[in-house]
Amino acid sequence: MGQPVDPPTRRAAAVAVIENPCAAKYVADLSELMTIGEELGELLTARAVAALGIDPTSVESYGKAAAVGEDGEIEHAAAVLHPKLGTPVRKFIGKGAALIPSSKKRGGLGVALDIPLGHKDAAFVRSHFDGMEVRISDAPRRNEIMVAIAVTDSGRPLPRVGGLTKDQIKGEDGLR
Amino acid sequence: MPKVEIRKRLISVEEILHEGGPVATVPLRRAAALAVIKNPYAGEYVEDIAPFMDDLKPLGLEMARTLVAALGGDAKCVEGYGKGAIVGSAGEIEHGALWHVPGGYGMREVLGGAKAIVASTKKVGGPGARLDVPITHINASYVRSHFDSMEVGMVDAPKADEVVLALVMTTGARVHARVGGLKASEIKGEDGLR
Repeated sequence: MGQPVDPPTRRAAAVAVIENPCAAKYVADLSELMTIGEELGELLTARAVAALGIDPTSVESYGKAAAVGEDGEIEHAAAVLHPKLGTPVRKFIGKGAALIPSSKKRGGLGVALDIPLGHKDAAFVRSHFDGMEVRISDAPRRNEIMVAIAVTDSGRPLPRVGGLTKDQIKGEDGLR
Repeated sequence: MPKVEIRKRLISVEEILHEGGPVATVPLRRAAALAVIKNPYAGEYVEDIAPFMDDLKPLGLEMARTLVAALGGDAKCVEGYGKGAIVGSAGEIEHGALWHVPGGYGMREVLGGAKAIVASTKKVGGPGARLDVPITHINASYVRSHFDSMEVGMVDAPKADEVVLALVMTTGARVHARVGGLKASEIKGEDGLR
């Protein structure tokens, strides 16, 4: 719209395509996927931050998401994302009092996956509510899972819908 | 102030009985309400857009009521929610951000004071663009069984000068939830988180 964004806002996502060890059968105990989540938490955060070329402590918002191929369950995405992935993410960027926003789905090759984004220390910072779409043309195959982590160095470009701003963060409860 | 001009609406309800595991005695239902509106700010940079949030509040309320009706009419059956927006190509991502307040307001009104922040996402896209709307428990964001999402979209929207607005509600946990964490039965309900 001709309005310059200065400095530019930058977002990066790192996506891993992994084999789903629980595909094509019903597995009650999903701890193997939880352990994979822990490993990917550090790996993908490090790669996304490196892609931005910033200090890890300069990350302002984050999000995570997973897409499960057709021989898996939505619960397999939950097992990768929720129990253990967050701790190494927070350790890498130094803080992260807020919930890491997430989404998950099942889909075929080339499915688009939206990673929701929110401020890492205060979930109500309105300028940082956002999302990033990722897609890989040949994934997920039916026995695979796409796992994605996104980080930013800023909120939306030209935010102007009011609400809590980042300079007002108290940082006590992860919300405000 | 610009008027809210609606071109079309869509309601969809998914009913999930199983994903290869035990068949649920009560199927999980996920419902989405979409409205395609004209973007009053398309095609130019407008600095002062925030007043449009108030204009959108009646639509937020109407869509929330429609969702509860689609799920059987009892607001008490709603356990998860989320919201999102897809902005057409002549608009900005910021125009999608206008939906945060009225979308959240509408659902809280109808659900009787849900405590958790409403999970959300947004994008700029063409007709047929799809959006994964994130979902969390309405009273405690950390309830792990209720982290979910629903893909929404319309084949002919958004046109360049339109915005697709979305609200989503669900009736329970993922159908085979078994990855631990905070349970809905353990909610303290004080801070919207736990």
